[in-house]
Amino acid sequence: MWYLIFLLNCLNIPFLHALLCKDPEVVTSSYTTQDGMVVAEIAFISEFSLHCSNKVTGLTLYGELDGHILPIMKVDGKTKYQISWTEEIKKAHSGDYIINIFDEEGYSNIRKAIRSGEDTKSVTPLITLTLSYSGAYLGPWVNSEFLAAILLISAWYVAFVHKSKLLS
Amino acid sequence: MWTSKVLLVAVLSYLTYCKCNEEEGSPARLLVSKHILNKYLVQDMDIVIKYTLYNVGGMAAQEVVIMDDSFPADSFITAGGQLSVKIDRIPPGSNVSHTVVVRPTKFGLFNFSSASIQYKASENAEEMQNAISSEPGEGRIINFRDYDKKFSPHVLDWSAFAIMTMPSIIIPFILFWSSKTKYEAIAKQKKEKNIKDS
Amino acid sequence: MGGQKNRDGKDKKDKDIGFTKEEEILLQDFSRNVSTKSSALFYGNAFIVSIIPLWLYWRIHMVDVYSTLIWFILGTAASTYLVAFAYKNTKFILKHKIALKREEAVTREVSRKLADDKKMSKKEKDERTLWKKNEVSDYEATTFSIFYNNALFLMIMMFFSFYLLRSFTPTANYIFSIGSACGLAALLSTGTQ
Repeated sequence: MWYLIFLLNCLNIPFLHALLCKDPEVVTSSYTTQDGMVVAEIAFISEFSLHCSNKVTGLTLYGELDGHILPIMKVDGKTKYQISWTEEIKKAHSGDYIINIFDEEGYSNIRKAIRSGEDTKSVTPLITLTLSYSGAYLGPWVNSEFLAAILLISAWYVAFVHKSKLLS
Repeated sequence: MWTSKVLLVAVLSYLTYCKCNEEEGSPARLLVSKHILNKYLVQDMDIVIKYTLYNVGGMAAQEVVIMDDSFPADSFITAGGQLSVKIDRIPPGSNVSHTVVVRPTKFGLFNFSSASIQYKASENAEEMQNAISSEPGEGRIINFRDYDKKFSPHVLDWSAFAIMTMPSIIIPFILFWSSKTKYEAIAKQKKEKNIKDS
Repeated sequence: MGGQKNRDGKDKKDKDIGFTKEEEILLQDFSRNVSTKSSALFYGNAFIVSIIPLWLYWRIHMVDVYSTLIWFILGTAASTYLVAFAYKNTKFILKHKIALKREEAVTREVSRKLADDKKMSKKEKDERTLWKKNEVSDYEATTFSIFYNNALFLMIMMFFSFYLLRSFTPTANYIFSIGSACGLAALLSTGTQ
């Protein structure tokens, strides 16, 4: 299947260009789970709508994150898409996650690059999404009960020492 | 020249078509698992749902539609992701995952049922194949108040407690200490005087 | 004891008057009874200390205040009584030890203050010294007793409520924590010599 498309590309048949997006514009909204105590894994979700100047819709897109291919789901079949993945809480690092989005052509190129171990930066993505994750809530630093207990015990200890001194 | 190119393309396409037909023509078959990735289910807090679709067939599954309407709108709100999505193609022998985050607005027992999937088992298939995902089963959603009581650090409450206990411990101690040091100072003075004299 | 010698001579005179001032002070010294002012101070402090845990129970254990109100009232009353009892006992034990330690310093302070006054007899000066010594040791013993017993009560209450009896229902938690805390405070105050 793939070499047919490759061949058609070589033959420069005009209609293929209509499937490429010109001047892509993206509007994103992302979501990451903020609480790390009730969930077992952190979910990273990015929903975006793609608008092309040549009014091309319904493109099949593929995502790439740190050398892994992530599938992109179509939400309404035209312009809205969703990319999502989960990560273990311990492995999820805070900061920015950069996702490269490729169309069909870019996807085949990036797959080749990954397979042959080439630098993935050589393939230019259609669009790049940035998902920032500021870390999840994993509980308070010091358990406040414990702190209160420690303070009271030390207060009592001081009292006890003085009392022993007085009674000696 | 142009005609010879078209001829080349035609021949190649025919060969490709034949090749495709000669392959292991087992149609695509999707196994879908729906997992709740949570330690606790708490009212008004995130529930992470992960759908993983495995294509165990020999052909690519086309026009895959996942639809999950097991979360009624009056009991759940979607915090992130969409419950109804479409994937163009899942190659054979590969898997695809989709994540959604919902928040329950009510607490109590809830039965997490399956999501429904539709797809075309092969490119030329006319009918859509139906499948259902695995069922996570019944889960108890805890009341937020109970969860908060158990897990929240209550920093303000403890600070208020600390402020309340301070007077009853610090004040008597300071009164005692001031009197004590005053008289110990006098006693020390006298001792020094005695040592000086003798 | 100086008071004893004088007493024989004055016996007839004092029979109708009652005890001399000195004897009164001595009596006060050895009795466990406290003055009304001291008593009010003790009960007031005990009440405050008994009220404080209620805040914790309301906010952190999230008890239903209305249903456990009767237990709160009973608990606070019992705790106030027992903690005040602990205060009295501890104060009595400490008073003498403090008096011994402060004797020299107090004598010196009083004699310094009254050094210029030639009119006062030695007896009166001694009386004043004794009275001052009593007052200082009373004050120190009272404040320390309150400090010590408050720390002890709160520590025991905290330990029982949040560690030992964590899995109990809030009402049972309250009853046993407060009960143990004030009970132990009262018990320990009678124990030490």
